[in-house]
Amino acid sequence: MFVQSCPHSQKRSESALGVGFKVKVVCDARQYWCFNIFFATFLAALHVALHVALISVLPLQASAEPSGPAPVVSGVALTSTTPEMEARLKKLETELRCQVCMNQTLAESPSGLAGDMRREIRILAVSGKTDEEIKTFLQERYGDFVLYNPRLTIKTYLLWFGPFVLLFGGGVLLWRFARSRRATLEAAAPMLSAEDAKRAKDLLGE
Amino acid sequence: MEDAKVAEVSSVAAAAPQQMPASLPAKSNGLQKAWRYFLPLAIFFGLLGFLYKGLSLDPRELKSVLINKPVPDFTLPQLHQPNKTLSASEMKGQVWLLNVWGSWCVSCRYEHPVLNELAKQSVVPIVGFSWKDRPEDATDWLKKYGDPYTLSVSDIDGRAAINFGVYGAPETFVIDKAGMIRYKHTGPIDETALRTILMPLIRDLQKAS
Repeated sequence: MFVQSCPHSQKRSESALGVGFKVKVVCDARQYWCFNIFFATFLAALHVALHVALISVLPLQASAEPSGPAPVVSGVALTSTTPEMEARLKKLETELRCQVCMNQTLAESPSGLAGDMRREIRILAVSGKTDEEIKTFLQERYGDFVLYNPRLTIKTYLLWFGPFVLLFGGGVLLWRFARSRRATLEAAAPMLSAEDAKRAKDLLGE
Repeated sequence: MEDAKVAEVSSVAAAAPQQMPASLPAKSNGLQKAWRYFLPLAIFFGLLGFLYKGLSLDPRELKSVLINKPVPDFTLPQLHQPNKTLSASEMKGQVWLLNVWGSWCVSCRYEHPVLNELAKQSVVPIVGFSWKDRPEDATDWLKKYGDPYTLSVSDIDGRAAINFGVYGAPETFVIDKAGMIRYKHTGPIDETALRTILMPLIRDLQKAS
């Protein structure tokens, strides 16, 4: 009712200062859409900003990470490996996450735990385990988070495909919005008769 | 006269939909109108809910995947008598705690008085898991701040810790009589956590056969 009674067009109105400015009719449902989208974006940005601020302000959490000595494991020949093995290990290390630095792979992380995990991977690889077995070994102990690329399971469908769904949905919404807006504007545009058009031309001195 | 008025009103009503721009027939549908208002609102509140929840989540706290799994077996030298060992299997038949710590770990010192207090009550054996530490540093530290551990083992190179998915100290595992991990506390145990989470759990597990 409320919406129906309003003309769906843009109006030119005068502000208190007498300056003309374009206002959309207050009850236009689409303005509500716009407001929501912008407000949500603003909130998201605020959230990110708060996180960044918190992370930079807070000291590195309560739990600590060892800096003590890490003697070499005896009994396993770890150094005498082939260049192929080294390349394989290097690749594997870039696919696993350091649990201390969290945004670093095992290959990048300087933390003691990453060193231990690299050594464990090496021991497993030298003992003949496949890459997949090594990943599963760590996943069984540290959880899915240890894998830099989450495995594609039903639980991770949303993670893998969610952004594309959002992008597509947003695109559809935007397209529909643009289309209906164009229709509204076209419907509201006054149609100049040939006579009026001629008068306007004359008035403009063309 | 009155009839004419009614007729006029009804004709206006009938004409009204035709006055709407052709592209906006949806506006005349009450359900769709409501949808246009409430869907964005619902999405907005949904998002707000997620963001609010996110404020109280600690991204550094990783849930252990070992909960309700058998305790990884280890055989490690004892800290105070390195020629003796302790295996996880030797603890079977009782509820016990495994506390991962290191003398290099600052928050372990913060946690230590709570463990000392718990040890005094002798309700549950606590096994100390000295992680990536020099045994002499660990024993010195325990002399200085008190030793709440029923037994201590020394994982000098940190290999056994990997089997427990340890990623920081202190971490505490609660293990039941059957040798299953029932709970993992990441970070220092404070009195509140001990009173509200750990003690009730330990009592429950001790009652279970």
